[in-house]
Amino acid sequence: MRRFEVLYTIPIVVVGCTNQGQSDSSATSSPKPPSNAAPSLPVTLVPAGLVHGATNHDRLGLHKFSYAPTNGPPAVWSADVEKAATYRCSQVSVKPKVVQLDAKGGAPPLVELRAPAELPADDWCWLLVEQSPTLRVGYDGKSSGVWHAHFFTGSALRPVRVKVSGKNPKLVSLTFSEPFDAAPLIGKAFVSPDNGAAIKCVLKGALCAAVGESFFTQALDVEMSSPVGAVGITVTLPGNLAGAGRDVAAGAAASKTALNAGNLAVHVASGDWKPCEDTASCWTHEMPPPTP
Amino acid sequence: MRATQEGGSSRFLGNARKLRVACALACAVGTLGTRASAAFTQYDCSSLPWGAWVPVDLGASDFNSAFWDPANYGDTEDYRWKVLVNSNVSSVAWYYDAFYTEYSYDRLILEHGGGSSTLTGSLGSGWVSATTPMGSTYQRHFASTWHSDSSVVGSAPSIPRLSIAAAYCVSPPNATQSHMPITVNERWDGILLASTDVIYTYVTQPANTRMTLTLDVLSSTETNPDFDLYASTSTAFPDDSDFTWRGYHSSGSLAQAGEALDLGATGGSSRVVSIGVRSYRGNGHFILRANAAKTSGGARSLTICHPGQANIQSHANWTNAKATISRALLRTKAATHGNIYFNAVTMKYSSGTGGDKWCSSISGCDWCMPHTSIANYCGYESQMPGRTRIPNVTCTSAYNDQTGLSLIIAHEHGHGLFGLDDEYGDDGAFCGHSIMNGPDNWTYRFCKPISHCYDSAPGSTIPAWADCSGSGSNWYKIANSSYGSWFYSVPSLYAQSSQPWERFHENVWARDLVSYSFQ
Repeated sequence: MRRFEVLYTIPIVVVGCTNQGQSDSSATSSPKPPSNAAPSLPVTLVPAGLVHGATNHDRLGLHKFSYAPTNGPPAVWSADVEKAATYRCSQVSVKPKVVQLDAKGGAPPLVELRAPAELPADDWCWLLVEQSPTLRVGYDGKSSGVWHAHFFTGSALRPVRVKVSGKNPKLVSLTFSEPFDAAPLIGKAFVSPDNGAAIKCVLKGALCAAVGESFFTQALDVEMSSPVGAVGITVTLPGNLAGAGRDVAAGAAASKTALNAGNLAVHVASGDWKPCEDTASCWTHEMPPPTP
Repeated sequence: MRATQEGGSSRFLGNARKLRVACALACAVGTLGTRASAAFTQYDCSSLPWGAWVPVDLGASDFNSAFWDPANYGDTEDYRWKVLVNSNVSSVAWYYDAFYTEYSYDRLILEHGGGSSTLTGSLGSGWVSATTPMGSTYQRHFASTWHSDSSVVGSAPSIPRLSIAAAYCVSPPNATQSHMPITVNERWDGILLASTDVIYTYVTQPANTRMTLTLDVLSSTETNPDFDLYASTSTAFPDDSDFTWRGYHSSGSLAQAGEALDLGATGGSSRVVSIGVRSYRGNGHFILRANAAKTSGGARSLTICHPGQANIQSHANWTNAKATISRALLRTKAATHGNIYFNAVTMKYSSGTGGDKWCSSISGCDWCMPHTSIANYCGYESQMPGRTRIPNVTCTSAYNDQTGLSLIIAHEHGHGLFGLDDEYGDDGAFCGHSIMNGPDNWTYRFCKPISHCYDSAPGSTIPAWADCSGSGSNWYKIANSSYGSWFYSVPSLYAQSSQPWERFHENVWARDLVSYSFQ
């Protein structure tokens, strides 16, 4: 039996949850053991399309989240979320508004956290959400404390995620901070595993991309000549590679990122890998929020 | 005024009868061929050098997104669509945007006349160009399969799908054709290229079933597309002058752009019903379904008791409550692949409190809107199986959320109607593919053995009481219980995902097929 009972007339997230496991008052039997421990049902905001370290990010923040139908409509809990959330950049700190978005194409309904005015240009910013027993963000196992995601409000192309998987042992999958035309990388040795594996090709779908072929993308699968695994890997982007708004060198200067001989080099050490997506290992760009 | 109509208007009926006599032998069994003369002619796009561009929605967007990211596709899906186009279409180029999947393991396969094209890995945005349709001129169609395995997704957030079809046409145009038959209780997609375009097909309504034809419009360049639905037992090409049923409502939105027709019940014999899907305004991608519910068990009525709330139809919140109830019943119909059709709701008033939250002192209730003196009268809960309680009509905030509350009520209905168990534990949902999982990730289907207990909420564990064997899945339990006798057709349990049909509850004309009476 369903145990959620919600009194929407009380303007707090979810009240009166009779709990998962409440026994039914009817004569019918439930295969579930009754439980009278009654943890309240928190609003769980799940980030939609979040790329940690995204660049060229919208200056209104506009981070999107889904919520569960059992949380009730956003009107019931949006004030709590607005109270718990902050957009913080180097010099400003603002409270966002919760805006409900139209559900599209059968996708889950979303809300958006919108800054009241544009955040500063070319600045690192964070979305911070203070979690509580009635509000949590995502499923990363950290249901208390401050959840955060960082982004840069100007173009500053860089790799923000590297993934290897035993299912495709010769692939190194890269996620970039903004979409760009990857054509200048095709045919170049821009991924260098410490085990000496060489690039066979950059895959465009199931096929090797041809040199000079335009490839507008935010992610690349790089096929190596031999299996890679979770070894150290260096990804190097030439300083003159064009991003969404400026080249890599100019983006690095704007975002206060050091270059190496005019190139942007990201080294993932063998100890930097973390489990992700069941069977893969990932490195993700991280940047802790500044203290206020 | 445009509306649903049965038997034709008096103005049209005479012509219809004449035509029926004329084609009684040729058409009554669904004989196909080119039309000799009719009002509707399929659209010719041969004069468009860049093709007729139609927004479509084919791919992972029809399924649950990942539990941990609604902007990423979900794992463990496998489903094949058939997509009808008119017989003038010579080729179609398909556009994909932000396409990122796990290379090789997760893929969108487009079947066409030249074979198939497989999209997998990191593709970004681009075109699959110049694909010819499969089939003869009687059967112009494509097929699309979305497959994702049980782990790892793409390298950037992505709901991989085809989002634009650019269609090119032969010159001179072909005569309008009727397509291959559609099968009952299955999904058939189609693309109408522009206003006035039409696709004809037909279906066999089985004996002892009540059939509804439903047409959902998924996308269009118009903000107010308007597709109409025609059906006939006497001509292969029903139109405004010859039809047995037609739905031709006006439209101001996607939710109003489709149609729904209740064809009624057959007796001991089957019958052939010819179908026309026509655009009154705009292009678009649609889902056509012929839903067969067994007259014994499948076509059902429902009694909702509402003690203490006299004249409920006059309550300010009744419009929202009625729409929510209808949406919930449509969700049940969608989850059962069209097999369970609640077409009549009786709202039963009585004085007093009804005794408790189940309206136990009132006989004949299927659902209960508890009296306002009952604790948590805005909540929802269900016996297994047995009565379901839904919020009292006065619960304004609850009924303002028609989409969410209807999904929750459909979940409760899964308990109350079929005795299905929950699929979540104290630390979250452990089956990502079942409406019985909360529903915490907006999933709307009953799971099959092939995906049961897969793709759970991150961090959740499977409780000791849960049955995660294949025989514990929703569809297995339904098919292998007495409830199975209610179903005209139960899908194959070990092939393909449960059918995606999420947006059906938005179809306002399908909601209108649910009639309400008041006692």
